[in-house]
Amino acid sequence: MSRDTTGNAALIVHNGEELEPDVRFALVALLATQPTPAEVACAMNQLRLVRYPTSLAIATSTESTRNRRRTSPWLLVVAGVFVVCMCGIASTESWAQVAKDFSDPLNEPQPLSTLAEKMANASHQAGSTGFALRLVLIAHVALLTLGLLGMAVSWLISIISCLVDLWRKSQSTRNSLSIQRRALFYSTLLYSAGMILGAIWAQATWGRLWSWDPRETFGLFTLAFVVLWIRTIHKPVHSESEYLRFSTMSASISTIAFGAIALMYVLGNRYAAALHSYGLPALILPNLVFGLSTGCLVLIWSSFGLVSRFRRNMTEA
Amino acid sequence: MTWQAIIDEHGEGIFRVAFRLLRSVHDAEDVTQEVLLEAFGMREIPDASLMKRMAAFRAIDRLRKRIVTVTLSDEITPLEPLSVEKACENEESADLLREAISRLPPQQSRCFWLRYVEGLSNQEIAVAEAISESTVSTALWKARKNLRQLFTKKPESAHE
Repeated sequence: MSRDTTGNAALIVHNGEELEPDVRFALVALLATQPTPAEVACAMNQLRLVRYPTSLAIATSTESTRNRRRTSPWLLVVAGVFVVCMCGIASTESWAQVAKDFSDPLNEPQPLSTLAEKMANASHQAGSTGFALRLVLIAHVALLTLGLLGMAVSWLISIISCLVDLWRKSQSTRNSLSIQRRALFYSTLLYSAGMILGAIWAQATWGRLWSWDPRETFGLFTLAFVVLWIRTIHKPVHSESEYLRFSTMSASISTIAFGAIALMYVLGNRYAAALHSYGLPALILPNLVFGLSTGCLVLIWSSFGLVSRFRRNMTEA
Repeated sequence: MTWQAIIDEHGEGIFRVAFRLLRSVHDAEDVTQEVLLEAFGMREIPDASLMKRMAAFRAIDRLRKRIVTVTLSDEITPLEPLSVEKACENEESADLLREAISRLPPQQSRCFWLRYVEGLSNQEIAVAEAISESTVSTALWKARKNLRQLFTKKPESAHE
C-alpha cells in the first residue's frame, strides 16, 4: 500500500481484512510516516558521534562505576604513604650524601648556566642549601620507579590476558582491560612527572636540562612506546577477532617497551659509563627501599581492583 | 564489524521503524542508539529484520511510557467522515493509533505488530514470543477488540 522511499521494505498491512477499516486506515497512515531525508541524515550523524565504549559490559554495568569510585581513595592512600615515605627518607643523612655524590658527576663537570647559578643563589639565600634540590632528586627517582612499576603491572596483565585469550580463543579476560588502562594512565603521569623533575634537577646541577645520556635516551624511548601502547589500548573493539588481534598487539608493544627498559638497565648501567651510572654504594640501599615499598604499594593497589573484579565475575557467572 | 559500518548498514532502517511509531526524531534516535548498542553487546550482530523488530518493540515501550497528551486527543473525533485534508487526517488517525497502541497491554501490542506489520502467522508469533498459539490468538483477538473500542469511543473514556 505504501512503500519506503528508500525501497528498504514493502510496508503492507498484512491480514488487513481482519482489522476494522478505521484501524487499518490508521495503520497504513502510521506506516507511511516518514522522516525527511534531512532528519535521517542528521540522526545518522548524531549516531556516528556516539563514543562507543570499548567494553560495553564494563561501561554499562552500574557495578563497575561503583567499583571505580571505590578505588579513588586507594589512590589517595598510596599518594599519602608515598609522600610520607619520601619526606622521611629525605631527612636521613644518607640521602644528603647521595645528593652530594650526584652533584659531583663522574664525567668532567659541566659549566653552570646562569639559571643554575640563579637557583643556587636563591637556595643560598633561603638558608636551606640544596634541600629543595635533594627533594627533587628523590622525587625523580621515586616517581620513575613508581611509573615503571605501574607499567610493569600493566604489562604483566596484558601478557597474561593475551596468553589466556589465545589459549582459550575467546575474549574471556576482556575485563582486565580497564585495569591495564588505569595502571598505564597513572604510571605514565608519574613517569612523565619524574622525567620533568629530573630535568629540573639536571638543569640546576649539571647545567643542562637534557644531556642525551644513554639512560635518558632509553627513558625517552620507553615513554614513546608507552604512548604507542596507550593508543593501542584505547582503540574501540567491537568483535571477538578484533579483540584477539588487539590484545596480541598491546602485549607485543608493551613487551617492546619493557625490552627497551631492560636494555637500558643492562647496557646503560653496566657498559656505558655515563651520567646515570649507579656505581655508588650509598645508592643501593635507598634504591632497594624505594623500589620495594613503592612496588608493593602499586601491586596492592592494582590487586584490589583485580580481586574485586574477579570476584564479581565469579558471582555473575 | 565496526560501529561506523553497522550504522551505515542498519542505522537508517531502524531509525525509520522507530520514527514510524514515535514520530519524533529525538525519540527515534534514542531508540536506534539503544538497539544498536544492544546489538553490539551480543556475541553476533543480529540480522536486519530482528533489529527492526527490536526497534519496534522498544518504540512501543517508549510510547507506553510517554506522557499522554490529552490536548491532542480532545480535538480528534475519529468517526467523522474522511473528507477534506487527506494528509492531515492520515496523520491524525496515525496519532490516534499510536496512542491506542500505547494503551494496549505489552503482549497484545507486540502480537499486533508481528501479525499485521511483519505479517507473521500465529505459529511464528508463538515461537518468537515463547507463548502458546492459543495465547497468541487470544491476544490478537483482544488487541483487535481493544483497538476497535479505543477507536470508536472517545479516547478519555477508553482510558481506565
